[in-house]
Formats: sequence, structure tokens, C-alpha cells
Amino acid sequence: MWSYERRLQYPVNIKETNPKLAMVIMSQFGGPDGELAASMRYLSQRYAMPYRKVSGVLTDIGTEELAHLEIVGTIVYQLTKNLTPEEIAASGFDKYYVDHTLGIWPQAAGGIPFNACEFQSKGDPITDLVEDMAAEQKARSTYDNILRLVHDHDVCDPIRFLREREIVHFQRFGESLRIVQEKLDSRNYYAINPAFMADKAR
Amino acid sequence: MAMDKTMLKRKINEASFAMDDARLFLDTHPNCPDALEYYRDMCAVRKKLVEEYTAAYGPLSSYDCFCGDDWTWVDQPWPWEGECK
Repeated sequence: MWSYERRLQYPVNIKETNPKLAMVIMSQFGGPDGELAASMRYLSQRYAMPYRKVSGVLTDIGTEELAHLEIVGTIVYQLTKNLTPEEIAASGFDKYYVDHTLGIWPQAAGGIPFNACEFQSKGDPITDLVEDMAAEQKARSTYDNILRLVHDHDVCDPIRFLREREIVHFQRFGESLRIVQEKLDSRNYYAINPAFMADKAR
Repeated sequence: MAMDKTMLKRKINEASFAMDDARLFLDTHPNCPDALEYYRDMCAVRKKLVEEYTAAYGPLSSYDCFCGDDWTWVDQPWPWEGECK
């Protein structure tokens, strides 16, 4: 069960619209390393994770990613609020606008729609956690790329917050991987899947 | 002195974030006494602020809606609305 709280995890109050920038930041909503993929990745991986502590990390980070999805959606929404047709045509936002008007839809900056193939749920704790660590780094790199293009403080500020959270999550997933590795005994030297019955018996 | 809505919301965000961050740390360090104490302290701070906010400006969570004659949950601004007109 999830419960909605009527506040952003980090506030967003953008005063100047900027559809060109919205087009880029949108990638962190529904792009390959975006917040939607992050949340769905962790919340999907929880079930086959045999260690309760690590399932807890996946649940809590997966939940925080939903809050980040809301922050990114808010940034894109405020950057494109009340645009005129002239502003839309001049900024290159027209290709998005024709299909979605000013609605928020999960896609990459290049227009590729969100796809569950952007993440894995492999049913193998080591495989999944190594993916999760990579995912946090990829999202951090994306925020670095965005920050090089943003000069408006109102936009930079929440983006910097989101970037810092990627670093913290990377750290927590690293600790989760260590917890899993400590559970493997000497017979499972090659770290074959500790969550799958046929492998456990070996 | 009573805090205004913006300040109260800001304090709630700060206390909540302190808990969000400490929660993840505790997931992988469940026996850390400093983190446990910090989480407990922030939880008390947050609880008090949320109660004050809810009483003055309406609920942040629909579980805290006290049904009077009207359903007010959908009348307050949503968090993405912002200041940009």
C-alpha cells in the first residue's frame, strides 16, 4: 500500500518557462535512466530478493524514486506552463506538443517512449544489485549532463538535490550487495544465484 | 510565535527528508545507536509540525481528512502547481 502526501520531497518554484530545457529534463521522467525506470526496477526486484534487509532498501529507495518522478514531472510542467503556439514553434517543443499538448508523458529527450526494457528484474540478487548500482551512476551522469545546460537557479536547485540522492542510493546499494555477499557461504564461491532453488542445492 | 504556511511546509520538508535519508541508512545499519536516536528525534519533530500544519491549513495525507460538511481534500493546491502563472 502506498499513501500520497501532498508535498514535494524537494520544492520546485520555477518562474521562467523554458520549453527547450523541458525537452531535455523530460528524459529523467521517462527516459532510459529516468526516475520511472528507477522506481519500477527496485519495486519489481523486491519480490525475489531473499534477504529482508535488502528488500527493505529496494522498497524504500523505490518509494523515494516515485517522489523524484513527481519532482521531475513538476519541473517539466512548470517549464512549459501556459506556452503560446509561437513559443512552442520557436523552441522545438512542437514535436512533443503535437502528440501531448502540455501534458506530461514518459519519454526520453529524443522522443523514444518509456519501455520496461530500460530495466531488469533478473531474480538473482547479485545481478539485480549490480544493475541497481549502475543505474544510480547512469542517472547521476544524466543529471550532470543536464546541469551543464541549465543556468536558471530555480531549475538547478532541485536538479542538484536529485543528483545528490543518486550518490546516496549508490552507496546504499553497495552496502546491500555487501550484505548479500556475506550471506554466501564458501561452497558458493562463484556466487551463483542464491535466490533460485536449483542453484541453492548445488 | 506561529509559523506561516511556507515556513511550516519548509520545516516539514526538512524533518521528513532527515527521516528519508536516515531510513535508508538504518536499512543497512540497523544497529547504529546514533542513527536510531536521530530517527526517533526527527520523527517527534515531524509529528508535531504535521499536526500543526494539518490543524491550520488542511491535511497533507487523505488519512488525516476530518470529514465535516464538505470534502476539502481536492480544494487545496497540488504540490506541482508552483508560483509560475
